[in-house]
Amino acid sequence: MQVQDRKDIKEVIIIGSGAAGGMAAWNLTRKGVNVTMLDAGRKFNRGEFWTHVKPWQWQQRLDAGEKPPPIVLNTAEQPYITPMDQPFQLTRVWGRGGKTNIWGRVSLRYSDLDFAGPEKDGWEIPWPIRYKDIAPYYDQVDQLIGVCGGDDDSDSLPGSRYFLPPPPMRCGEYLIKRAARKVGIETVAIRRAVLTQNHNGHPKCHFCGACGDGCDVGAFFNSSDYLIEPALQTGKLSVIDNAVAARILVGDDGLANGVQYSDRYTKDERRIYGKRVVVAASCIDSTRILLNSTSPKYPNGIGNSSDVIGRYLSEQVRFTIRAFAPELKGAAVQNDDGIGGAHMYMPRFNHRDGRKRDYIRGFGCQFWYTGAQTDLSWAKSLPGFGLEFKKAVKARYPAVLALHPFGETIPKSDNRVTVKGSPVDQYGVPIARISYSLGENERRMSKDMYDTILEIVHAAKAEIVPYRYGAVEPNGSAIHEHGTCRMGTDPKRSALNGFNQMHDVKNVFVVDGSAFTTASEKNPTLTILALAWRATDYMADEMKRGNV
Amino acid sequence: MSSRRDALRILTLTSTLPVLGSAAQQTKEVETQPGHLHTGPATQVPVPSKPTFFQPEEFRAVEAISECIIPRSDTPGAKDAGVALLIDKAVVADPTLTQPFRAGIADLNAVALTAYNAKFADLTNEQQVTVLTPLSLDPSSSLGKFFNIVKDMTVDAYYKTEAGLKTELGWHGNTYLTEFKGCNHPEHQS
Repeated sequence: MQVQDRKDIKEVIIIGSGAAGGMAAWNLTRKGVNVTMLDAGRKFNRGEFWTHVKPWQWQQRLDAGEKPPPIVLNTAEQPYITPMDQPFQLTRVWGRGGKTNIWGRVSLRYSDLDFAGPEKDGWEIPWPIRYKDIAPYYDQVDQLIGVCGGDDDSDSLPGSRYFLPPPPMRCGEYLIKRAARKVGIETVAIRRAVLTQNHNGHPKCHFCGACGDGCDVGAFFNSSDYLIEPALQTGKLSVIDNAVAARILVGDDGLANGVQYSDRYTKDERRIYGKRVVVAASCIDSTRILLNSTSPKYPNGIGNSSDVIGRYLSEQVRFTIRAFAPELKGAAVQNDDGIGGAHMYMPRFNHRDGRKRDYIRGFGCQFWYTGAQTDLSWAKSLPGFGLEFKKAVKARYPAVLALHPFGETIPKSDNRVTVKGSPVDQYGVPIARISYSLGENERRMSKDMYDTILEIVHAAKAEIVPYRYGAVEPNGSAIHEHGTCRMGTDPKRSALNGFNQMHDVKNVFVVDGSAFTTASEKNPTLTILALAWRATDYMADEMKRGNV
Repeated sequence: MSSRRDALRILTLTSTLPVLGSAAQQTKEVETQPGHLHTGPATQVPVPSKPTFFQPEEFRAVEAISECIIPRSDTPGAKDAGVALLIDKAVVADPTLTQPFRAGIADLNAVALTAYNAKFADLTNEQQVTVLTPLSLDPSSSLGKFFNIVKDMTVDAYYKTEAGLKTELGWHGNTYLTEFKGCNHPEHQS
C-alpha cells in the first residue's frame, strides 16, 4: 500500500466528478478552497464520441474494428447484485463528468408540493428545507449551466426568470397539447439543460438529436466542461484519475480524516488524507462507500447511527405509450430531432380540482420519441406483412406520438442497498447488494398514469400501439436513484442535516441523489446541482468559522 | 443509454448504398462550429457478404421470408437492404435464436414441399405469400411463432439500414442545423 505523506493534508477531498462532485469542486475552488477530487475514470474525449454516426454506420464501424468510447461502466468490471426476483438496472459512468455526459437533460424545479409532501400525507420524514431555501440556488444554476424553458410558473413546477428560449415544438407535440387541453390537462415547454443559444462560452445546440451518445461540442451541461474545467483553471483543484474510492477513513476524534481508494487498473491501494470529505459518487456507489466505512466507532458504516443509510432507495415508475396522430399519417417526414427528446412537459396536476386518487404523491409526463425518430420498434406491432405492411409503416412514421409519464416511488425502509456479506470486487471491497421492489402506492399511481395517458390519446383520436395496462419499465431504468443517505431534521431518522452534512460526522457532506428525502416525479440533476451548491456554500462558511 | 438501443444496433446495416459523400459534407459543416472536435466518419470497409451461421440453403430461405415481409417496391426491399445478413449477425450474437431458426426453416420448407413440391425459396412470390399468410394469422403455432421472430428481426434490421430508414421512410436526421424550426402547420397549433 502506498501511503501519502501524513503531512500532506488536503483541505477538501471530493469523491466523484458528476453533477454533484463537479458542482462542489467548482463552488469551493472559486471560494479559494483547495480541493482534491477522486475520479473513478478519466476525462472523455468529446471528439471520440459517436454523436454523428448514423444508425447504419454503427455496424460498419464495429465491423471495421472500431468501438464507441466506453462511457457507461461495464457491469463485468464492477458488478452489483440483486435478489433473483428483484432485478434492478443500475447505470453508472466512471470518468470525468459521470452520467452528465449522457444524461437526459430534463431540468425541473422541485416545488413545495415535493418538499412539504411528506408532512402533508405523513409518509416517512419531511424534507428539512422548503422551496424558498433552494430557489436562489435554482436561479444561479439556471444562469450558470443554461436551461431552456417557457414562462410558465405553477404550484407543482415553479418558473424561472433565467431560461434560454425553449425549442419550437414538433407537430406531434402540438397535437398532444391540444388533446390534453380538451380533457383539462395543461402542458408547458420542457425545461432542459440544452443551450438553445451560445451561453457562457459554450456553443449552442446543433439539433442533431444524438445527445445520448455524448455531445461532441458540449452544447448541453456536462460536469466536466461546465464545472471541472473552470475549477481546474483556478489552480485550486487537482484530480486523481482512475481512483476508485473504497472507504472513508476516521480519526480518533470520530471525524473523517481521509479516503482509501484503489487505482482502477493497477489495483494499487492508496490513502489520501484530508480535513473534510464530500461524497458525490452517485447514489448507489456513495452508499456503498459509506456502508463500507466501518470502524470501532462506526460499526454500521460512517455516520449511520440512525441505520437509515442504504435504506429508502427510491427510483421512479415510468412507461411509454405510442400512438399515431390521424392528422400526421402520410405527412411529409420532417427532421424531428430538435434537442433530442421531449420539447414539451405535462407538470403534475393530480393534486388539483378535487381530483380523487387512491394513492399519495404524483406524476408528470414527458414526450420522448415523438415524431420521425430512429426507433421503429412500434412497427412490429402492425399486423400482416408485404407491401401493405410496408405502406402502413411508412404512413405512420411521421405520425408517432409518444407519451412517457414518470411517477414518484415512495421511500420504504426495505428498499435498500447493503454491503454486509456481499462478495468483494477486484479491489477487495464489498459490492452493493440492491434489494428493491414497487409497492401498492406505485401500482395504484401507475393505473392513474395509464388512465390519464389513455384519456389524452383518445382525445387525440389517435390509433394506439398495443400495450399492457399497468406495465412499467424495469426498476432502475429511469436512472434516478435517490434516498439512501437522506436529509432530515431528526438525527434518529436521517443521516444528513438540511445542508447535506452528516449529523454524526460534521466534516462529511453527501451531495448526490442519495441525500434526497423523497424522489418526486421529477428528474433530479437540477436539484442535485442546487443542493450541492448550497451545501458547499454552507461548508465554506463553516470552514471560515472554524466549525468544520 | 439503454441496452435496448444497443441491442437494436447489432442489427445495423451492411448495405452497399453510398453514404460517404453526405456524411463528409455534414462533418465539414459541423466543424465550423466553435468547440467542435468531431473526428469524421469511419473508414469504409468491405461489407462481409457471407453469413456465418446460416447454411446457404437456410440463408436463401431467410432472404425470401424477409423479402416477403418487406418487399421491394419503388424503394428497396429487405433483400436490397441486406437484412438476411443482419439477421445472421443477430443469430450469432444470441445463441437462443439458433434452434428456432434451424427448426423453423426446416419446417417451413416441409410445408412448401408438401404444397408445391419445392423449397420455400424456390416458390413463386405468390406461392410464398400463400404459405406465409396462415402463419401470420396463427401466432400461437410453432411456425407462426417462427414467422413472428423473422418479422420482428426483419423490421429491426431493415429500418436501421440506410435503405430502410432514409430511402424508404425519409428520415433525414442527425445532421447539423443552425436552427430547429419545429412544426410549421398553424392547423396543428390551434
